[in-house]
Amino acid sequence: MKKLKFIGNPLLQSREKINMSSDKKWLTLKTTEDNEEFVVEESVAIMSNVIKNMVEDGCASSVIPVPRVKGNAMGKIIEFCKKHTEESDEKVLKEFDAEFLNLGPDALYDLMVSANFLEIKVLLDSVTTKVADMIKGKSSEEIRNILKIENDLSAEEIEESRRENCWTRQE
Amino acid sequence: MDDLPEALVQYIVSYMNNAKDVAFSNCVSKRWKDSMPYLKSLYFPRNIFDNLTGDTPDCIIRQMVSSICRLETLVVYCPFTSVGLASWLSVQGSFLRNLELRMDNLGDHQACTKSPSKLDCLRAASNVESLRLWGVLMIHPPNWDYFLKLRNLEIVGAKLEDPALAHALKACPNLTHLSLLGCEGLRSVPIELPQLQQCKLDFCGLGDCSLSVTSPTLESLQVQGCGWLQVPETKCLRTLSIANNSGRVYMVDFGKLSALESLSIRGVQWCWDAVSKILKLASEVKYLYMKVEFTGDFEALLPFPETDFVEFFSNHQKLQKFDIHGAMFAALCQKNSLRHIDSSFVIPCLEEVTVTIRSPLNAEQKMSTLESLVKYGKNLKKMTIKILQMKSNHSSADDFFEEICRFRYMNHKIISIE
Repeated sequence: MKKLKFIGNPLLQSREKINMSSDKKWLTLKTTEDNEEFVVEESVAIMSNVIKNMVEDGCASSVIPVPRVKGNAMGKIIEFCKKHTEESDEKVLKEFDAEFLNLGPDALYDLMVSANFLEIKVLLDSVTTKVADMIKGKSSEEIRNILKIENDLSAEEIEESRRENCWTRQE
Repeated sequence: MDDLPEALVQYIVSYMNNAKDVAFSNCVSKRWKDSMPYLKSLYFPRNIFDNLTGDTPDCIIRQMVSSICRLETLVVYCPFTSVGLASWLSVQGSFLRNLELRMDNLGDHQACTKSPSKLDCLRAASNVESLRLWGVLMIHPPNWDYFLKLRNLEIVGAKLEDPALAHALKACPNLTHLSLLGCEGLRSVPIELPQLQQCKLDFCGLGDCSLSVTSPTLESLQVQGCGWLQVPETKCLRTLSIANNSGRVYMVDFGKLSALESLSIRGVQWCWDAVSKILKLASEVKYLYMKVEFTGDFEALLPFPETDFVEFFSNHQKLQKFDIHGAMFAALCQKNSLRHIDSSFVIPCLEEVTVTIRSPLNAEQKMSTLESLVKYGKNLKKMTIKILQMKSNHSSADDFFEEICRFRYMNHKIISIE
C-alpha cells in the first residue's frame, strides 16, 4: 500500500498544486524497502551527496528510489536536512541537533548507516559526535553498556590490554 | 552495533583523542581494538599521569604512539623527556602534521650537551604543518633541518636569543602564520618570511625591541613590546595593532597602508612622529582604536598637541568604528575651523564611537567634541561614553558629569554611559 508523505506545506492537498507553485523544484524519494514516498524540495534533498550527483548527472527522474533506508528513518533524515537547509543560526541548529539526536544507540547506529550510505556528511558527523560524547570519559565496561557492545575479546587479549592500560586505573 | 560496518566503527573511534579514552576504547571489543591503529590524533592532557606508579609517561606514550599506523596529530601537555620525544618521533615523525608540546624548559639551566634537547629532537617531525610549543628555552640555535611544510608556528612562553630565533625562522621558509607570545630575551627581530600572512608578536621585557618584517603577503600584524618597527611591504595589510606596555614607541616605518581596514595603537608613550605618521598612513581605515597615554621624544611624558577635529575626520573618511581614550581624546579640538566650516563637512561612515574620558579638565572642549561627533556623524548609531577612574577630587568633575548626562538625555537613542 503506497503512502504519500508531503514534507512541505501541510495545507497543500495534491501534487498538482505543488508543481504549479513557486519556482522551487521538488523531488520524490521512494524507499524501496517499504515503498514509502517522500516529496522533498530539491535544495533539501541534495544535502545527500548521492542524490546531488544523481540530479547533476541528470539521472533523477520523477521518483528517486532509495534502497536500504527504511521509511521512518528516511522521514527523520529529511527532517534533519530540512532544518539544516532552512536555519543558519548556529545556536538554533545546535539545540535542534541535541533534541533530534536524543535517541538510543540502535537508532543512532541506524542513522549513521543511512547518513553514510546517502553521503550526508553533516548528519554523519553530528551523530558520530553524539555517540562519541556518550562514551568520552567512560571506562571500557561503561562504554559496552551504553552502546550495547558485546565483549568478544579473548582472555589473552583482555590480559594484554589490562597490562598495557593499567595506568588508566590509577586514580 | 554488530551491524555497523567497520568503517563506521573506525569513524566513531576516531573521535576519541584523549589518551585515556583511547586506552579504554582499546578494551571494549575486538572490532574496537582493531580500529585503534587507524586513529589519527592523540592528546595527553596535563595531569593524565599525575598518579602514575610503574611505567613512565615516556613509555606509555611511546606504546600508544607505536600502535598507530599514521598518527597525524599529537598533543602532549604532560611532562616528558627528550629521550621520550625522540622515541615517539622515530616512529611517527614523518607522518605527523600537527604537533603541540609543552616543553617546560624554562626552568632548565644551561643545556646539557649529553643528550639532544627537546627542540633538537623536533627535527624528526620533518613534514609537520603546524607546530605549537609552550614553555620553550631557545638560547642556542636549534639543530633543525628545513620544515618545508610548516605553515603555522606558535611559541608561547619562551626565553629566546636573537640568533637562535633567527636560525629557527630560517628553517621555516614557508610559514604563513607566526605567533610568538610571552617571549623574552629578544632585542632585534628581523622577519623575512615570503609567505607570511598573519603575525602575532608579544615581547616581554623593557619594550625596547626592534622589529622588521619583510613579507609581501602580510595581512595581519599584531605587535606588543617593540620600540622600532619597520614594515616596508604593506600592500596586503588589512589589520594592524601596535602596542607597547613597557617602553616607548620611537619609530614606525611602514609602506603605504592603502588596504588597511583596522588600526589599533596603544601604549604608555609614543613619539609624536610615530603617532602622526601612522595615523596619516591609515587614511582608509574603517576601525580605529587609539589608547596612547602620552607623547614626547624623551623621558618627559608630554600631552598630545592639539589635533583639529575637522582635519582628523577628513583624513579618515571611511571610519565606521572609533574608540578613543583619555589623553588622545582630550587633544581633539575644533581650533577655529568649525566656525568657517564647509557646510558639506560630514563624517559619513561613522556608526559607532566609544570615548573614554579620564579627567574633567577642559570640559568645554570635550563636550564640544562630543557634540560635534553627534552633529556631523550623520550615520552615528551608538556612542558609549566611559567615565571610568575619572580623577574626581575636583568639583568640576561633578559639573562635567552633569553636562554629559544632559547630553545623553538629549540624544538618548544613541548615547550610553558606562
